[in-house]
Formats: sequence, structure tokens, C-alpha cells
Amino acid sequence: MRTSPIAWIACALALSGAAAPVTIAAETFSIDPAHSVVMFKINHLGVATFYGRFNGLTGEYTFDAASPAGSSFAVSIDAESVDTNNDKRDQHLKSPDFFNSKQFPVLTMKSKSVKKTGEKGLSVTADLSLHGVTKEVAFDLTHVGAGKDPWGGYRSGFETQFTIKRSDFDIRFMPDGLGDEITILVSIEGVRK
Amino acid sequence: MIEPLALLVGLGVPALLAAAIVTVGRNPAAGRAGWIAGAALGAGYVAGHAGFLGWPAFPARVAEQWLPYAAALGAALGVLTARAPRWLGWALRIALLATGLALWLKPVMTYRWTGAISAVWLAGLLLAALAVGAGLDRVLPALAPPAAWTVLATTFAGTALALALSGSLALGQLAGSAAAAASGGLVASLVVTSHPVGRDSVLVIVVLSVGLVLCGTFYSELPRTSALLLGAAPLAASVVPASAHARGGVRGALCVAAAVGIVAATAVVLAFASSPAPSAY
Repeated sequence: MRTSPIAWIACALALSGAAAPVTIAAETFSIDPAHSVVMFKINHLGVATFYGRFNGLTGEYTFDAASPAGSSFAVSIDAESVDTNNDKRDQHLKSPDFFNSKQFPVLTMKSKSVKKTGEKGLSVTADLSLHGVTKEVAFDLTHVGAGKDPWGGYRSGFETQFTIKRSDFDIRFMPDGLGDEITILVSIEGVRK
Repeated sequence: MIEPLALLVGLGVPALLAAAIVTVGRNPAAGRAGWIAGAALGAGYVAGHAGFLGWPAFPARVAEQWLPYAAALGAALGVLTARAPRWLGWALRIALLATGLALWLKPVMTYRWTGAISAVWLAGLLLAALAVGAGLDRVLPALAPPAAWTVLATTFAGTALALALSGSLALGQLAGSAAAAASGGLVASLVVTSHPVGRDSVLVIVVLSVGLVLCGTFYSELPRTSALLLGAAPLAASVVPASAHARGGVRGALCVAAAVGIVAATAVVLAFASSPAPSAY
């Protein structure tokens, strides 16, 4: 029985494929705003910790579980979406006194380097642009989990918390009423593209 | 919540500085130096701005931080063009106002407006600012110095209140610095025989008035009706009969304050009405 050349080529291709190592490529996710949040807390009058949040969060990230250094994160936050459960305070926070949201409508955070630090842990440095000032920040990022959702998609989630000084970003109003340090909590859930 | 020291530096220093310039500059025998009021207002505002927010970097990073540069330049141009041909004064007025408008509105033009809309807004606002300036050219020199300073103090005080009620205490503070400087000029003009608030002072007045109101309108929540009223408020002095203020003194100043104050107060009430309900936070 003669084997045709085409059959030989097909067989060779099949064998070479079977012999190749199994790799998981980096996956890109779109941030799901409905299941993601950016919160902040700041000292008020030296007597309490006050919390607020931003409701407008978008962005995407690429996560490579096998090689985290190839991962990247980019988050955009609508400064107008600041929400502290008080209309008058929200108006003040959006004004030139604080976030100056009409002159600087978007806060952004874009990773510069990602390193694996543990089973679920990543160490990230990123450029944070806030109030028109861009500074490098470093934080630990936790990979919360990943898996299929009920709608046939695939999701993953990350969470971090870090502290910045608002004076570093030229937000200096009311230095005696509000603390200089702002702790920011970012929790994102992404849907695989 | 404003610290007493910040109030002293942001309001006290502008008042004292403006009063000192008006007092030192008194000498009617040397002629009508109409630029002295502008120099006093400009220097007082710059000192107050630096006192409240610090001296801004150059180029300024945010729109309102161009105000001290514009005020200083407006005052300087008033001095430099005092003896220059009138056309040169107008040309420089147009150049400074056009530049100021472009700088103040740069964020809006970047994020919200197309090129054509930006051009229409810039042209419209420039014409409006020039019209206010032309009106002030006629109104202020005709007033006795105390009455003219009252016009400025009342207008900037109204602007400060309206801005503070519209969401930005910082902008309110800046307008407060201008009001404090004008108040210092007023007190000095009641004590010494001062020069009139002349045409050479109008540029810095328009620059400050327009700049503060624009920042409040576009970057805070100052209602546009309030902005229009505050821009027009100093012109309300023209409805006061000359006989009421020609002699100067406190009575003339009060008549003018009432006319301007009604317009400015309306702007403040409208700003208050459109703002979210006040609450302790």
C-alpha cells in the first residue's frame, strides 16, 4: 500500500503538534464596571476616617499566569463620578479645590512592571495620573480568582490597596481639615475578550 | 474651614498693600495717574493669591493659576501705556484678554469643545469682556475715587460669595483677595486725596473679573446667570446720578454700593439657589 505525500505531511504536522509544549497565552480582559470599584479613605478633622468612591471605572488588563511579567493593567476613572453620599460635598470634591474634575476629567493608572511574589500575589509599579500630575506608585496586587461565569464568559479579578499623599498630586486644599494621606482601594473584575 | 493665618495673608495683606500703594501714590498735583488704582488692585490680588494658594509654577498647570500672571501683566500694561496712544492700549487690551481667555478655557477646549465651538466661544467672550471694559472706561473715571473703589469692592465681594456658594471655596478665596484689595483702596481713598480709578486701571479689573467668573462657570458650578450679573455689576454704578457721588465721601460710596450691590446680591442669591442644599460635611 502506498501512502500519499499529503498523508505523510498531515501525519508529520499532527505529530509535531502533539510534541509541542502546552502554553497558556496572556489573556486580555475588559473591566466590568458593574463588578469593579474604586474607593478611597481619608482622615477627617483628625477624628475619623471618611470613605468615598468613584462609580465610573473602565479599562482592561492582560494577565499572563505563566509569566506575570508579561501582564499589564490600565484603569481609567471618571473624576465626575465621585460619590460620597452627599451632593454638596460631591460638588466640592469635583471643584478646583480638590479633583478639579472639569479640568482633569480622567484619573488613570497604567502598570509599568508586574512581578510575581506568591501564588496569588503580584508586585506592581504603575503610573498614577491624578489632578493632572503623574507619579509612580508601587503596590501589591492580589489575584483573587478566575473562572467561568453563568453566561458563557470567563472572568478574573484583582484587588489592591495603597496609600498616596494628596499633596504629591497638588491637591492641597483644607490641609487642617483633611489628612494628606489617601488610601485607595481598587477591586476589578474583568471579562475575557 | 479657613485658618486665621491664611485669612490674614490672603485678605489682610492685599488690603494693606493696596491701601499703601494708593496712599503712597497720592499726589493729585502731578496729574491724574489713573493707573495707580490698577497697580494697587493687581499687587493686592497677586499677594492674596500667593497667600491662599502659593505662587503658581510657570506655565500654570490649572486655569485659575494663570490669574496672578494676568493680573500682574494687566497692572503693568496699565502703567506702561498710561502715556501711550489710545490705539496701543486697546491693542494690548485685546491681546491680553484673548490670551487669558485661551489659557483659562484650554481644558474646556481640550475635553468638551470642537475647534469651531471654541472659536465661537472665544470670540463671544472676548467681545463681552471688551464691552465690559469699554463700559468701565466710561463709568469708573467719572466716579469719585471712594465711589469707584466701592464699585470694585462690592463686585468682587459678590463674586467671592457666589463662587464660594457654587462649590469652590478656593475660587471664593481668590475673589476675596480682590475684594480685600479693593477695600484697602477704598479706605485709603477716604483718608487721602487719591487719584481716580482711571482707564489705565480697567484692564486689570476686567482680567480679574472675567478670569474669576469664567473659572467659576466652567470649572465649578457658578450659574451662567450669576456670571453675567457679576460681569455687569460694576456697570450698574452708571445709574447713580452724578450729583449723588460727585463729591466723593461715604455718602457717594454708599449710593454706588447700593446700585452695584443689588446686582451682585442677585447673582449671589441665584448661585445659592442653584447649589445643592447646604449641609455640614
